[in-house]
Amino acid sequence: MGEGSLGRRRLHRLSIGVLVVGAAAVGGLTWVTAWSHGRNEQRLLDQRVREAAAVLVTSLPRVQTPLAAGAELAEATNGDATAFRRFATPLVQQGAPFVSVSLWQLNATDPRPLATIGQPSMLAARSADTIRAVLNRSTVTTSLGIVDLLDADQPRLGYAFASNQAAPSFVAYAEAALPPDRTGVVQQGSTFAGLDYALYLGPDETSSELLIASIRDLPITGRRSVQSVDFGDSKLTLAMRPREELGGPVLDALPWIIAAVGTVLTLAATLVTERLAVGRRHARRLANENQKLFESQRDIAQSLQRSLLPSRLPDIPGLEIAARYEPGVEGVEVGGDWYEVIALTEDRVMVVVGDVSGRGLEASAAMAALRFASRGFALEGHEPAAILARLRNLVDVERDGHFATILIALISISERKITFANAGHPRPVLRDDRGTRIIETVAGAPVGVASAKPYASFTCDVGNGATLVAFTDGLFERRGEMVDVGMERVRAAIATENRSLDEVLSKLMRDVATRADDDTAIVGIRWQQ
Amino acid sequence: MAAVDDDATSARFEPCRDDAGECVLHVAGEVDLSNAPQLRRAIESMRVANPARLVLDVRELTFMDSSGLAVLLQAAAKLDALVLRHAQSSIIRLIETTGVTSVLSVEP
Repeated sequence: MGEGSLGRRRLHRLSIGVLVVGAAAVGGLTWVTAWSHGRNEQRLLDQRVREAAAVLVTSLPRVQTPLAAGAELAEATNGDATAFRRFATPLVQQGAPFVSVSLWQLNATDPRPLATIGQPSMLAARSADTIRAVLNRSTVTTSLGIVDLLDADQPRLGYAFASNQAAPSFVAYAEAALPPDRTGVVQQGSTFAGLDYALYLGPDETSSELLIASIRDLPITGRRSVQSVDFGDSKLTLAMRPREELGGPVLDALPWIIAAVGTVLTLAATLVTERLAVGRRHARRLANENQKLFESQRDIAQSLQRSLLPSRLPDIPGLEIAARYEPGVEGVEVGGDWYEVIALTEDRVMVVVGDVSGRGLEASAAMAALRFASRGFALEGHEPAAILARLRNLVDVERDGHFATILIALISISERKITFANAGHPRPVLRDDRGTRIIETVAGAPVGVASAKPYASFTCDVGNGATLVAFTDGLFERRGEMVDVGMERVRAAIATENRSLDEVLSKLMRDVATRADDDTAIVGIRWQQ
Repeated sequence: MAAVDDDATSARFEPCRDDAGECVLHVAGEVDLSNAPQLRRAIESMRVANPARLVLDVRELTFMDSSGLAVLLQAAAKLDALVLRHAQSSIIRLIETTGVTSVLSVEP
């Protein structure tokens, strides 16, 4: 537990990774969203400013048209003041665009208005040179002449228009009043709704040239858009700034929403990763412990099994003896196969081959008990059938879940006689000068399986150069195949191998024992000729 | 005698009733060390009537190693009769050569 509490103080590397990556992703996403939102807002604002500028330009004919009509009238009437006055009177009434309209003659040495309607013209108070310059300028272009009177206490904007005839003689002139503080009211639903704006005369935002603005704090700063448009023979500059997000409040909040949600998700992911990492650490520790336990059990079983198999076979005059043992799949639990060759006397040898069902330590332990007991009973001089009967109570399938098949062969060398007893074990194969055959030993019940039937003995005489091969089922057992087919494979292999006994066993292991997942034990005995 | 596969060998154990209304455990596929414990649990879960007799329908059992046989022998030791019904010839032959015909009854 000490390691667990220690581990909790510091975040797991993986969790830190998740946190860093998550934070970076959230930061990046937030920045991209904010940036794209800003771009979008700017685009919308630029569009609004262009629209507003277009609206301004369309207001020009409202000024120009009556002045153009007045100028034409003056030309036609040769500057008749009465006619002009009658014409211009509606232009200065309540709700009309102008506060003062006047008619001027071009090229006069002392320029005076021929007629003035409404308030006195501010232009008239200017110097003669200024007046002449204004009047002459209006004849140069076909557009409306814009006259800057913004420096006055009551600021006005003057408009001068001369007839488009080849040599005009008169200029129709009007002045519009600007609010003294130059603050405009924005009407709901107009082009300027929702926007702060400042409109200047001229190509830039010169504060003295301010015509009208929605706010006093100028120039307009922040996210803004500026557009210059032609207005008569001058220019107007419109600067605008949105009062609120043009794309709507949700879009404005989106980067912050993403940042907040992303942060929460990142923290949650970090927490989950941390828990998983801690869990995995515990699981790994547990797995290590299990692995050690497993290995220790396997080591015990393997060393037990190694110790249980004969380290060397006895030297018996007149007999050639060979044996093979191949454990099943490497690294898994050991099996319960064994063999034993016991020299009882100079002339009598006992061969035991057995197989305890199942695998693992229990099977190995049962095998050990059976092996040593059978050896003991054999040395006491018991016959094979009697030995099997005495082994019966060492294993109990009802109690242990294991049973054992055992084949015992008692060999009389000089008599050329073999006495068998079989407890459910695969039958041995005998080859001599009469042929190669499976010996039909009478199979009694395996050791560990209750049976009323006593074990029977079976004795056979063998011919010259006889070879006896006993083995466990790992040698021939195949899935979905009759036992007899596998047995015949073993018999045929023995029948066709004419070399040494050792070669016979090697051939069986190589060519017949094709399954790698089961133990295989083989013992071979050959009478030397 | 024992066999181990990398993967558990495929086998099915399904309790059901035969035509006569008797509880029968269907054992199909291959039984070896890897799934012998499953066979043991399947047999133990069968509610056996008196006289204690359990019938296994093994017509689809294609292979059984000594681990599987040990499960049957263990069960048989606790019962009056363990009957293998419709056993394939390879299974019958296994029972014969292992010398347990007196313990496991084989029914056609």
